This record gives sequence, structure tokens and C-alpha cells, in this order.
Amino acid sequence: MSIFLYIFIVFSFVISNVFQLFNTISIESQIITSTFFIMLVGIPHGSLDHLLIPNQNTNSKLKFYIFYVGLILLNLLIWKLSLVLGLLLFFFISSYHFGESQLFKFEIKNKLISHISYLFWGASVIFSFFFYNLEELVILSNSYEDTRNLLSNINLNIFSYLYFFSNAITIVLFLIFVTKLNFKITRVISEVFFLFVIHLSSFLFPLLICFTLFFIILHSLPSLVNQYNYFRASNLKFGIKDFIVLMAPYSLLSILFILFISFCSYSNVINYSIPLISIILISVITLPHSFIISKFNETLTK
Amino acid sequence: MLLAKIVNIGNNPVAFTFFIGCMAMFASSVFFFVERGSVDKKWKLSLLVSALITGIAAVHYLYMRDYFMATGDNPTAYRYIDWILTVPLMCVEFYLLTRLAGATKTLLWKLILASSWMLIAGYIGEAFSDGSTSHSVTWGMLSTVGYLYVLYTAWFGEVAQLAANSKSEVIEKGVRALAWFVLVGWAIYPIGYMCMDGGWLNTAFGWTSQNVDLFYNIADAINKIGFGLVVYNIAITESK
Repeated sequence: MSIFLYIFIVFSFVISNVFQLFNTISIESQIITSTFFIMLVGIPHGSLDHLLIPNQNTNSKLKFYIFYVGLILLNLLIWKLSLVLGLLLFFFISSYHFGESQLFKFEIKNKLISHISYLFWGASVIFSFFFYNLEELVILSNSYEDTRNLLSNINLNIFSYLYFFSNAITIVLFLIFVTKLNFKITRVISEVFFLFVIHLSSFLFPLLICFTLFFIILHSLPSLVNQYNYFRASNLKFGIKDFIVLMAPYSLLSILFILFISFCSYSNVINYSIPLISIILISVITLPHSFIISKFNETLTK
Repeated sequence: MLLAKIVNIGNNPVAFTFFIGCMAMFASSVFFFVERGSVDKKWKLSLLVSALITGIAAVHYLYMRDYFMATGDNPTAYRYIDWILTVPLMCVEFYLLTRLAGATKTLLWKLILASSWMLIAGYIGEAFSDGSTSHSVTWGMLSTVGYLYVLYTAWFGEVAQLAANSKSEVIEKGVRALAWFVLVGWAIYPIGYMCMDGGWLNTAFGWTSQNVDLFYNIADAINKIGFGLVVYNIAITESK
């Protein structure tokens, strides 16, 4: 068990007791709490992408920004052309990114197996959030016209099919890890247990809570720790304060931008609801972020 | 009357597992006690503790079985009486396994206190309920603090570090296996706590403590016998 899974279990116990005490946690409280932690931990975990590729000179930094912004614009274009396509692409990229962040440490030599593993592990996690909380997803999306219309274009059964399919593939891949790739069975059992705990929390908790728990504790925090260790490895005097100072500029910029866009949505300056614009913004940043983190993880395993 | 009820246990899985649990614990106790003769002197105490854990459980399961057959109710008090003795003894096993790597009596007492705290707080929450949710939540959270302490110590804290420094792969793997028991096996107990009337799993999902009795029995047998078998494996391997 990793320390992050331990923290996840501790928070799950706390949340379960809050539920017991108050019978429920209102959707407004869930939104406020989730937003707070995503801004505190989730956004910063992506704020150092520009520093994670080693040996950058001025030319390569320029290329980096062109690449990063270019992918954001491309993704925005896709959302503009088709909301459904944008959403499907978001699920695809997020699945791969979540899976890669979790499984890269296996250092799977076979590229095909590694890519498929990352994709389906991540899909297993993402679709567990929806599979166990489908009713809630419908209720949340019905709060705004654009999100209602978006979800109405999707056959909700697809979430169930993808849930079962991704889990089946993931189990098969874990078997391949043991039988063909000769990973220790104890290591694979740990991963199965890890996945089981995520699924259990998806079953027990509402959509926003189970997603936030996973995203903050099991995804963003480990990523932040990896990034911190990376900077510290090249400079032993580098401390937590330095890390926070490093993350601050783009984190604050992102938060301010989100607040600005939310205000524009609230004031009807832009024709998208706050939830939909939030999903779009997270989606467009996820695409280049996942590329950078993929490269970064490669350097960690070398 | 009890005999008449015993005759009809075929369609009662909970009663079934009380019987199996009782005999399985008894048989394990005999096994561990007899196998003390097959291990080195430094491991005899560990096997004795394993035998005591399963032996104490066997006697309590006898009483729990009779209580359940006579009343149909879950034998909460008997369970806690059993756990207050056997769970701290399981923590003693962590100390005994890592003693050669430098575990101190302080560690031993910390684990005993944490596990006892976990059980006493849990018992107060479960058996002395005034019907209020705040009572069960408060004592449930207090009990969980003890559980999380033992869990942390076994996975990341002193026990894990001592096992890693023991220079014995068998001990390291064995302590890791016991840590899994604490993580997965002992989790059944807070889950059962949350299934009692008014508990979160009870109100949110309709799970009742009647449903959990079956799992308690199975989990108890796996936890105690499995725990002992891991210790036995370490002792036998290190004695070769």
C-alpha cells in the first residue's frame, strides 16, 4: 500500500463519518469543497509543466509554448465543432493520463501493452465514477440546459458497457503482467487492491466526492511529490517553500482565469454554463499536460 | 431446545459458520501448539501466541454459537470480549517478529494500547448507544484512530522499518503479509460497526448487522488462522 492510498483511506473514513452524522452532504457543499481542493492541489500539479522537460534553451522553450498552446487551441476547436466529440476525447485523454500516472512505474517494455494498460486502467477508474452514480450524473447535468443537451446526445448505457469492458480488459492485462511480463504477483495484487478501493469509494460516495478524492489524493498528490523530488534531486537546498513559489505564478494565473471565465458565464457574456465551461477548460489543458507528464515520467524511469 | 435448533442449522449460514469457526480455531490452536516443537527456540513464543489467539477464539466461538442459537441475536459482547484479548495478541506478534531487528518494549506497548483503544471505543459506541447518531459517530471515529495508528505502524512506521532492516527477506515478506491482514482483514470490523442500526451503511444501503455476522465469522477465521499461518511460515523457514 502506498502512503497516498493510506491517506485516501483516512479521508474516506472521515467522509463516511460526516455522512453518518449529517445523513447527507448537500450538493452545494460538495461543489464548494471539491472546487477548493481542485484549486489547491489539482491545478498546481499541472502548473510546472514548463519546467519538467530537462535541458531547455530559449528555442526549445518557444517550441514548448507553441506546442502547449497549439494543443489547447486544437482541443478548443474540437469542442467548438462538436461537444460530444470534445467530451469523448476528454474521456480518452484523461483515461490514458490517469492510467499512465499510475502504471508508468511498472516500466513495461512492450509499448503496445503499456499504452493499452494505461488507457483501460484509467477508463476503469473514470467509468466507475459514472457507473455507480449514473442517476446523480443525470441530475447534475439537468441543472443546466447545455449540459442536459450534451448528455441527452449520449446513450447512458454506454457508461455501463465501457465500465464492464474496461474492467475486463484491465484484469486480462494484469494477468499478462504476471504470466508474460513476469511481474511479481504480489505487486499486481497490490494494484488490483488499489483499483478495488477506488471502485469501492465510487460505489459508496457521490460522484463529485469520489472523483475529487481520487483526483486529489491518488493522482495530483503523487504527481506533486514526483515533481518535488525531481527538483530536489538537482538541488538539495530546494525545499517546500521553493516548490510553492515555483508553482504559484501559473496556479494563480489559472485560478484567476477560471474565475474570470466563470464570471463571463454567469453574466451571459459567453453562452456556456459554468459546469460546461469548467469541463471544457479542464479538458483543453489535460491534452498538453498529459503529453508533458508522459515525457516527464520517462525521465523518472531512466 | 438448543439441540433441536442445532439439528436445523442446515439452512442458517451464520450458525453454520459459528460451528466451522469454532472447530477451525480449535484445530489451528492445536496445530500451532504442537508445531512449537518444530521451530527454533527464538520462534517458539511466536507460535505460542498464535496458538493462544486461536485457542481463545475457539472458546469464545463456542459461547457465541450457543448465544446465537438460543437467541438469534448477534453476540456483540462476546465478540468484543474475544477481540479485546486476541487483537492485542496479534499486535504482540508484530513485536515478536521484529524483536530481533531491534523492536523495543515501547513499540509493543504502543501497539497494545492502540489496539485496545480501538476495541474499547468501538464497544462503547456499539453497546452503550443512547440511540443518537453523534454517539456512534464519535466513538466510531475515536476507535478508527486506533486502527489507523496500527495500520500506519505496520505499513510505514516502526514495524515496517524494522522488518526492512531485519536483513531477512522472510521476515520482511511476513510482516508485509500481516500488514495486509490489518488493512483488508481488520477493515471488516469498522464496516460491521457502520452496519449497526443508525450506522451509515445501514441508513444509506440498508446493510444490517445481521448481514455482517456471517462476514465477521469468516473474516475472524481468516484473520486469526491466516495470521497464525504467516507467523508459522516465518518461524519454520527461519528455523531451517
